[in-house]
Amino acid sequence: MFGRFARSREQRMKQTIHRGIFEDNLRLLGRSTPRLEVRKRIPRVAKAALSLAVLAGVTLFTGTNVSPIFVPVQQTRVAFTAPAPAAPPALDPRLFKGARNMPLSRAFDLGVRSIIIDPGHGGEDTGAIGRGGTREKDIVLDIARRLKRRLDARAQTEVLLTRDGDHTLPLAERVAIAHADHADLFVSVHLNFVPKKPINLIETFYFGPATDAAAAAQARRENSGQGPGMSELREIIERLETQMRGEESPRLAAAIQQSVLRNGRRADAAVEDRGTKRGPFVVLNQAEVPAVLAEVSCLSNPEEETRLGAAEHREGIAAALEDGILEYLRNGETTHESKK
Amino acid sequence: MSQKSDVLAVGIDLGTSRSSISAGNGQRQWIESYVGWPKDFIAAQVVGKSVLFGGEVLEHRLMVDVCRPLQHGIIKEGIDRSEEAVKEIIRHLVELAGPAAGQKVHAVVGVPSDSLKVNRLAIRKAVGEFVDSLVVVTEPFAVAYSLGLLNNALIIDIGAGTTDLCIMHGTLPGEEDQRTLLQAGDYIDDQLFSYLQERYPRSTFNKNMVRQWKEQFSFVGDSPEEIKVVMPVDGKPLLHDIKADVKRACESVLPAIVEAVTQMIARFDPEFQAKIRKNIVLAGGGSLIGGLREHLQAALKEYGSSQVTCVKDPLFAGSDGALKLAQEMPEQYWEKL
Repeated sequence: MFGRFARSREQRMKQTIHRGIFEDNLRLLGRSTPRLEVRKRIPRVAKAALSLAVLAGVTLFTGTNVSPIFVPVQQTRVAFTAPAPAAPPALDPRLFKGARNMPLSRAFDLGVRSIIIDPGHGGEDTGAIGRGGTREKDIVLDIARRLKRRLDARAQTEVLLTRDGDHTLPLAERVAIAHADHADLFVSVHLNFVPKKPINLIETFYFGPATDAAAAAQARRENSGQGPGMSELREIIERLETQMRGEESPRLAAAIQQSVLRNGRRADAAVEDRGTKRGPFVVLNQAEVPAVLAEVSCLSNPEEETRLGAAEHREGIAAALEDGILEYLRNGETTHESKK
Repeated sequence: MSQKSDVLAVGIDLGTSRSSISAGNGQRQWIESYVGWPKDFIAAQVVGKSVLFGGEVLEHRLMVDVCRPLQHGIIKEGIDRSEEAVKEIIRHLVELAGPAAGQKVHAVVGVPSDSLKVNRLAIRKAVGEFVDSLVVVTEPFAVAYSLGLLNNALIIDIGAGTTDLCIMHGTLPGEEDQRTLLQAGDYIDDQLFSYLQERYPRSTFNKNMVRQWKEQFSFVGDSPEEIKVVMPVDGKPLLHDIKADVKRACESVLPAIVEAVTQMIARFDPEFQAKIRKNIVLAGGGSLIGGLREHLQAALKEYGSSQVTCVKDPLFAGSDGALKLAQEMPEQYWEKL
């Protein structure tokens, strides 16, 4: 009898542990949304989004496609009133129709107000050093400063550097700066280094769960003209983070990669396109907004190292980064310098 | 249970020094965690392989680019060769396990406790290419699972790169239940190397020789036996007594381990503290250090009665536990991983 009780207790313990391991690994993959849990979480997300809608005092228009994980709503036009606190209505999936292909900033129509540019390395941490003695920390700082100058010219955006000098800056502090300054975008600038191969390559990393999209296209209309920055809507965004952030960073990465590569090929037609990748970088992992790490050049390539010595080339890279960021923000609706 | 004919469950212990695999088909294999690539065409002709592992790497180390990818228990971030080497180790281990054609592989991989999320992701990425579904757990947890010690137990897994401690209390251990120390096998090697350099400045020896001596003679406390090894002096082989240096190097890791153990146990309710102290298990290659179990037990005496034991098979304890977990994890979880 006692033995059976002990076995049953051990079995329960194992079940708890198995479930814990499963959830831990899902979290690691950025997939913390088993279907059962999604259903449970919807009302909370809905409540936040609906509260926002009430603030905006607007009417939402719906589409027709319905995701199977949401409760379908029959009306084609839904007028919002203050949600009852005890039982907030389910979020109509049709509100999110079309948002899959839309950047978060545009979905909320907020305008990105703060961009953090993070020149990699610094101080004691020189980063890579080319054969000619060029140090990664110096080049990326110069590119970051140029990028800031370019973006500063756009009055609506505040641009901050995690470091504006040659000093050591731990990864945690870089992330802390992004948090403290309510960044809306985070772009870390680095140079590649592949000593064993005489290649020049460009690649852009992002760290974000590649989860299902659940976007809020309609919310951009509610927020239009309300003036809040994305960081001020963090509470809502965080709740959508699992679904949204996973797509935002790759989108930003793709825009930057495309633009920087285009620029790189002007100088070196053979530059290799390594594309965008998920990368295990702490600085990206902990950023709470769309965040990418761009390897904008390759310092181990002697010809490229020589080119990086020229201010014109560095300015070109900064311009390409700027274009990539703008491309992301405008979702391809504008023509940029780099396309000329 | 995931153990079906169309699925091969495997448990992998990815270690700094040695990596092992235990498979549901009965295969148990291990390799030293060294990977080597021939430096050029001639080297490739001589060694006759495109990739070498373990002992072969050390044997041909002058002809190959050597990579020991899991220094301090982590994949060295941003170093391509390091990630590539981890992939080669995993590919080789899975091949050694011999899944049948068309058979899916469900793998549980043990990594150091303190592995950052980034590192666990990097390992997932490296392993993911060679298996169909994958779970990453911490190494001491895998050992605890293998022993069925799911509650009121403390596992001390002394590996080459790290010493991992993990308290089990009936649930999946959280971050606060786990600690990683860098005082482990490699640390002892470094200490011993520097002590011997100081004592015998005219002798010539290398890190590999020092590591072999440590593995052969390591002890803490008292040992009646002499420890004499051959080291060349000006090209002439001479016998040297290294007993005092081996003892000093091995004992250099003890203060950190004892401190971590006492701090971790102190977090629990006194009633549970006593239970945990009665259930301390030493695992990993470090558990083979002579006199270590007795020393730890004595060191913990002032905190109350303690019972320290050693796992029977330190080389496979982690991979066996990982295999057990792979076999017992419900199928529905595997489908999503």
